[in-house]
Amino acid sequence: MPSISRAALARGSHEDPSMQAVIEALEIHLPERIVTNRELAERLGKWTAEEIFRKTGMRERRFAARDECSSDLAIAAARKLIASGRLNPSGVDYVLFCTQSPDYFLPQTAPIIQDRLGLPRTCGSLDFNHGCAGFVAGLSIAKGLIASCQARCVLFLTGETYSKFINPKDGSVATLFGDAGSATVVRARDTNAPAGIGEFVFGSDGRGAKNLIVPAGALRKPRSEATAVEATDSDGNTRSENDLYMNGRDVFRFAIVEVPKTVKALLEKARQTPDDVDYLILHQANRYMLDQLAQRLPVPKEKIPYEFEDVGNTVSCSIPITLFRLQERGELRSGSRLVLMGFGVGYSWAACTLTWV
Amino acid sequence: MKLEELKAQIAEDLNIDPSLLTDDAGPGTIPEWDSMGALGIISVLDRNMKEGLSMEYTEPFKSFTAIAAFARQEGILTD
Repeated sequence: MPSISRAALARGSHEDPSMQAVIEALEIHLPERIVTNRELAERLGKWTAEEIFRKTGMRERRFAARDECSSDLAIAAARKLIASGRLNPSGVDYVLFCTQSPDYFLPQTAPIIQDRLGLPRTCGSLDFNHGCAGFVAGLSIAKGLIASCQARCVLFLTGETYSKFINPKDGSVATLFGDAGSATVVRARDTNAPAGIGEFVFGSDGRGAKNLIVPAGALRKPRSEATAVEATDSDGNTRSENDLYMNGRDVFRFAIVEVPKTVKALLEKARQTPDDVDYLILHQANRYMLDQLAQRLPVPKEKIPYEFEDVGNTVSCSIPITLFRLQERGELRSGSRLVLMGFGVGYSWAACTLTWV
Repeated sequence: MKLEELKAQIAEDLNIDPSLLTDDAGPGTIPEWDSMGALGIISVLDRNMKEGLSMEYTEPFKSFTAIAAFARQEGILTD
């Protein structure tokens, strides 16, 4: 099979339209601590454990330990790939890390990951701050690196520890979010067959920035005594400006407006019909959101997997967790045609077609 | 759509009797009209709009009267 040589790679800038980017391997990692609905019900005193399940579709979620960072979760996922022989660290040309909970303001986390995983020093590295659309956004970057012959093997990690932004007295977010890490090997494959990572559609609407936000702690509004003052809203949720805030109503409205339109646009761009789609994998926000979206999407509900009951909403890790579990259950086969769509914080959204190899 | 029809759909979504949706009814008077209930109301309105909801900002609905006014403005209500 012809392939682009390392020398050609070193030359750099030429593009090879026949070069496909495929997901070759995928792993996930969850932190040990399980937070059950019962624990939340006792702490919040607002709903019973069963009511939390009815509202969210979630029974438990995982929270990282105090000294456990998003990079630790992502690295643990990558180490599973290495230990099982699905990833040779010396063959990685580029490492991508998607997180909204980095180890430091600076340095960026990806070089730290390069070092901890023993990836080559010739390996490129890039962090990007992206939330629920982050996995699809990262696939687009990985595909671009491969199509432009800048890399042949991209190790794409996601990691999130939203739990560290959550006020334990804020039931609007404490019941939803969980921490996780994922590691995906995206590799060049020389083929003219329609395979691998396909077409993309993107969107951004910064008017929604205020609706899912940690207001204080970065440079626009550094943490201070004032930002640490807690207040309780009309729904009885307590938080400060140092904590995660979500306007669930407006985020929901955004999703039901934009997600169906984007899926339709993607299918048109990829010249596919809903019948061509084996699975439409959405960001796993919560059950109510997915139920409502399923009513508005052109594919049958049974083609829209739900994978949040035991992990919660894991932000950029939710789509890789869903892919991993579908694969583990044998529900993905070579040639399965997928649509992936992430949406949320920003607002930002991204959708792509993917043929499983 | 008639006002009573919209009221029935919202009541069904909130899982309450339609008679509870008086003009002044709102999050303060109906326990089911909580943050999740508010999502259901948005969903009912979206389903009844030909082009669906837009992303233009609107204030949260504080009463059934406000919902009805929005529904009239968007052409959902015909009476």
